[in-house]
Formats: sequence, C-alpha cells, structure tokens
Amino acid sequence: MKKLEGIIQPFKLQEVLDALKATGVDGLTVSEVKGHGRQKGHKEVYRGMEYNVDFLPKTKIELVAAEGRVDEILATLLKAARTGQIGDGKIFIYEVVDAIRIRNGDRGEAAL
Amino acid sequence: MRRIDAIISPAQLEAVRESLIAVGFEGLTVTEVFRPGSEAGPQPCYRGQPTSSGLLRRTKIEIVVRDDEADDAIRIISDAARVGSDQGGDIFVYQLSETYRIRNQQRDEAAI
Repeated sequence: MKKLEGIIQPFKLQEVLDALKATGVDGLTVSEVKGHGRQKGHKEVYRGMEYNVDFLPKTKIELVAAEGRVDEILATLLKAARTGQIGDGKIFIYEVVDAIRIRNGDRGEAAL
Repeated sequence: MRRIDAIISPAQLEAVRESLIAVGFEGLTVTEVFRPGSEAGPQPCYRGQPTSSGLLRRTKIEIVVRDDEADDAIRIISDAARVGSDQGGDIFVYQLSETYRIRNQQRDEAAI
C-alpha cells in the first residue's frame, strides 16, 4: 500500500476529485493548508503599500491505494492538477505499513 | 527523501519559517492542528462554566528534504521552536519514496 499526498491549487480541487472518481477512487481526505514553495509567496499591493503574502492557500489531498493502483492514480492526479504555471504543487508518495478499518478491525488492503 | 513534521506553538511559526529559509529550505506546508495539553493563563469560559476540551491550538509544519539534510533541518526547527518555557513541541520524520512536481513532472530530488 502507498499513501499519495498531493498539495494542489484550491481551484483545481473539483477537477481532481472528478477525475479520481472516474478512475474508481472513492475514499480520500481533503484539508485546507497554507504554504509556499521556492517562490516563498508573492507580493501584493494594497492602497499603494506593498505587502508580502508569505503563506498561500493550498489544498491537500491524501489517499491510500493498493500497490497495483498507484501508477494509475498518480497519472490521474498529475494530469488533473496541472495548469503548467508555478504554484501547481507537489505529490508525495509514502510506503504505508498497515491500514486498519476502525469499525470492524479489517487490516491491510481489505481496509481501504 | 524525508518528510519532517513539526508540531509547534503558533507564535513560533514565523521564527521557524525564517530560520529554515535562511539556510535554503524554501518550501513548507502549514496546518492548524489541536493537541492535548495545558497552558497557563485564562481558561476558556462559556456562561460562567469553565469549558475546555483539553486541546491546545498548535501549528503543524511539513517540509521535505534530502536524506542527508534531515539532521540539519531538525536541529534548525528545534532551535527556533524552543523559546522560554515552551518546550517546542514534537518532530516526526517519515521516509518518502517518491516526489513529483505537478507543473512539469520533475521527479524526486529535483522536485523538492
């Protein structure tokens, strides 16, 4: 099992959710996060004064997939979240040691 | 690659961020979280009754670094997060298997 974690542009969320649903992903977690990459935020001008916006709003999507589905889901995420502009975000992939369904104690891939 | 999660006091966020940027760790993700704990000072009250869930507002910082940079990053975060009586919170380190930049599909260490 692997965990895929995508930090994406908030306005791409719906498109990504639709694309994931179409590939048969039905469980995921979304959180609102803030952050920045190499550009370290950007400058904004308000009433003639320049302000640094350090933390940009981003959306984090987390999902755990069985080994055989990872490549397909990754390709879907990369395609749906992409605009080609700076700020598109990143995808991180982790090895998951175990998963447990709290309701009935299912373990491993049965719990996904 | 390693992902480092640090749960720190919200007041130390700016200090931690600046010390990370100063040594070249330029990207980070920030989430508001709650942790069990107690704090000196006024306790929250509602209609005269002390109301406390026993949870304190904390800030979670996530950064991704190369394996050989992890020790530096951990030291920098702990130095900047520890102030006065504040013990500085916790740091968790995960092994990361893959990283993708969504914009142009750069991979792994090129995508950090």
